[in-house]
Amino acid sequence: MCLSTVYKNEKREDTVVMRNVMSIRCDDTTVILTDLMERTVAIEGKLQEANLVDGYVIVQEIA
Amino acid sequence: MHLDHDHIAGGHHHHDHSHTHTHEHTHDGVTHTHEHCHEHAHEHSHPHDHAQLHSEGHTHDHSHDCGGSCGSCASGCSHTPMEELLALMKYMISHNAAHAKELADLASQLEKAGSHMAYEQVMAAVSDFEKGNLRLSTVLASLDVK
Repeated sequence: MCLSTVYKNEKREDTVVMRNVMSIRCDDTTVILTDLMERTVAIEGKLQEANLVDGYVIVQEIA
Repeated sequence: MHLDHDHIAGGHHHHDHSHTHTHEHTHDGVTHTHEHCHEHAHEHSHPHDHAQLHSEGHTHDHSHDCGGSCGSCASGCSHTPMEELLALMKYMISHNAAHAKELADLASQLEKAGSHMAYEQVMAAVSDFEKGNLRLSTVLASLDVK
């Protein structure tokens, strides 16, 4: 499985939340990203799209 | 770096384990001993506090809300840019090796399907791929010792 880049709301360079993401955990309202260096970022939102061929994920932020 | 461990601040963390054991069983009147390898993932907690974790050399996650960009992060991440590059390179080399194996498996399936020529060509590509990966490993080793 390849590492992914995670974007917030839409796939643009200025919406990158985290690169080299190796794991994504979701609960009801939070998406928790962990990168290769084991840093974590938590986003209040839900998984909108995961493109595993192109290596990107979009998280829809809860407004 | 822990590619197979996920440590969560607060002492609760996740491990992937695999272990091998044998067991004996009987069917159709014949007793066999089989060796099995199991992979387990489980979560558990340790009664360590934050300071103790560091003093004992454990690692765990911090979120610095820096979006993974050390350039914009004022929190003093412990990883240098070179450490990150080395980690990424190690990951890629390992990942390439996994892909090489997948391609070799694909080649085997081509041969089983009757395409021997395709099998040979794909295996030649696998060999080239592995040579490239070996070159990357050499570069990584030279960077890692500095």
